[in-house]
Amino acid sequence: MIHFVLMVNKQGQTRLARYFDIPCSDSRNTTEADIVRKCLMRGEMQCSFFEFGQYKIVYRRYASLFFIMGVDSSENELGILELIHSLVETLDRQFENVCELDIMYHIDKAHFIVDEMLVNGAVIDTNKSSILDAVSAIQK
Amino acid sequence: MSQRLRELIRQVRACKTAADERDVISKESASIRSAFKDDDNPYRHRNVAKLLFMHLLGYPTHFGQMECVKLIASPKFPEKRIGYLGLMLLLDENVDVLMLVTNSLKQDLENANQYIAGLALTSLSNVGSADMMRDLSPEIERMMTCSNGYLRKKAVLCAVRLARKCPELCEGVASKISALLSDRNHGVLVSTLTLLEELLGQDTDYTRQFKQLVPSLTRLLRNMMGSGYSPEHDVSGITDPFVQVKILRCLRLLGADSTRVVDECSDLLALVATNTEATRNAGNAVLYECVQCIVGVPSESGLRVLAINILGRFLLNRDNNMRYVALNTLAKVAPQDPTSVQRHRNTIVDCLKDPDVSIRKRALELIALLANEKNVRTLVKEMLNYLGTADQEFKRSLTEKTCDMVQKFSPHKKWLLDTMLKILIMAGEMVPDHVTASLTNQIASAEELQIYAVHKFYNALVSEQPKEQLLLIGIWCVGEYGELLSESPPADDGTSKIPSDSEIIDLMQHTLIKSNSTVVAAYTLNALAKLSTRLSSEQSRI
Repeated sequence: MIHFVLMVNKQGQTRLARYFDIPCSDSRNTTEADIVRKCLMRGEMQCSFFEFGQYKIVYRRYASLFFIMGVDSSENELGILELIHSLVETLDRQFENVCELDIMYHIDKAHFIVDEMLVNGAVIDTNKSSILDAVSAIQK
Repeated sequence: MSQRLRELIRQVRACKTAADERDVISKESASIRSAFKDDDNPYRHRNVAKLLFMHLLGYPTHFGQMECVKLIASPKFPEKRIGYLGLMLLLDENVDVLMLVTNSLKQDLENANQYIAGLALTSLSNVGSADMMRDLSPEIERMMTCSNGYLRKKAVLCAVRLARKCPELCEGVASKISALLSDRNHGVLVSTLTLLEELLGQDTDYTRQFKQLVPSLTRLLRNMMGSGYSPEHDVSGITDPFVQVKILRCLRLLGADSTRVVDECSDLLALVATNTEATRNAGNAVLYECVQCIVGVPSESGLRVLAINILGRFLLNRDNNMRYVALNTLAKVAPQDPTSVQRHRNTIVDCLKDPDVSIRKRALELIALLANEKNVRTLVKEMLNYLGTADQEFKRSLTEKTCDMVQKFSPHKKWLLDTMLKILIMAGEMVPDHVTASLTNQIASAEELQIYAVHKFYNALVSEQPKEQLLLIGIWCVGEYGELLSESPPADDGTSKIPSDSEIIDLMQHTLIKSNSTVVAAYTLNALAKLSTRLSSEQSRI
């Protein structure tokens, strides 16, 4: 299962954080900062997965944002990469050439898109049209 | 006067220092808190939205929890929406406030508007506690078979959480799975497969019952592979890779201990392995899952060789992700099937030199698994070549693994000695203590090698800058077998000269003076004591 989804920029500022089945705790911010630091330290040529505590971290950088997912060690890493790509493409279609500012100012819409794709750490739908239909209908 | 969320964001972005930001946030926090006390506030949902933003930044937002509950109870849709979002972000299942929401959830689940019911289902799936799930399980089960696809998929994922929290209530849920597998909506399919996976992970009773589902699973996968281009589910040329991966994972769980299941799906697995396009990540993800399936079930050897060859192809890929994944899986396969993995040994050894540290670590572990009597010499040669240029962190594990391999698989003692000496010279400080101890044992027990050993160690001590471990062994050796130094060394050691007794004592003196470790000094004194009885000509100097 996917334990969390983070969108963090290169300065380490979290733009979106979604946790599944992890109790709220004060150490969340420090953990996020640690993970982002590790991602930033890795170069272009290194692979997109590493281990962090009991989670496996899968990340990919799109322009100025890192999309990070913390998953169980039994998950298919390449599948998670596809999921991240699917999420980015859906955000792109919603916001038309999405950038970091779009996510900042429309954080609720971004959350709704994540909600339509991932529920309780599992993929529920990856069909962009049905996701975007639901999100735009909710807006009315 | 409450401001809009955008204004707050703009203000925070304009702050130059952390102290400024804290000021802005605390001011806004205070105004929100006083606004909440006012029951009739029309801007409640805007305030909660601002709270969510502040929560993202890491500021405390506990005072907003009751507000979320109030918003959820509101009949207006935008307020409900923000209330549920706040619920999912600010609360978790341990918070008491959650119980208050149960009633609103129940009402919303039955609401005619599918989006409201959907919101309720999503929130329940994300933060529902065990008690709440128990209360609402009849509704969830009913919605799993309702006519609306949007709600069906959400209800199924809610049932996944139910299975996790209250496994005793899953009878009804389990019976619906076979019908859901023939659903046309891919969202429902992927959720059902997740539910299946969750149930399979829990109880062995279900495994027997679900084995009847294998034919429908294989049919589903076959249809997906054979169907033409379908634009809504296509990802880089593969039809819905997410569903394909899930089906393969379920097949792996179902077939883990059953050859009958394996027979039913082996030609399908072969089909997937050969027909899936490996040019894009989506295809590779499906191939990877297929390989894991083949490796995880008792499949026939032809299929296993196919899987290992696919992994070999991954290893040659320039993309680091592929190589990492391949090395990981090969490490799992190697204990069961070492001969097929040996074919790719050269590629694995090349991975030792990769710039990515994760790949180097995995390659090292895999090599340690592959070592045997026949290939240990070539493998260790490569590893020693690399040891010279390895970085500090990696050097330690590399040294330890090499020592292990040498000790376990060396074909004969002379080679063991030579190799250990090389390692001690190159990376002496990282050799673990137990290795040096066993080395001394081995030298002591191998009479024929003692002359050879003592000459080699003496030469090493004299010519190189010895590190502590090398010093210790060398000195011990010279001490024990000092008198053998005066005999001529074995024939293949041609160029070394026979040291005189005084030179030996010179060396000891030199070591004693230069050493800054008491252990080394102790060893040296010990050795001198032994030598004093054997090299009578030098007793006075000692």
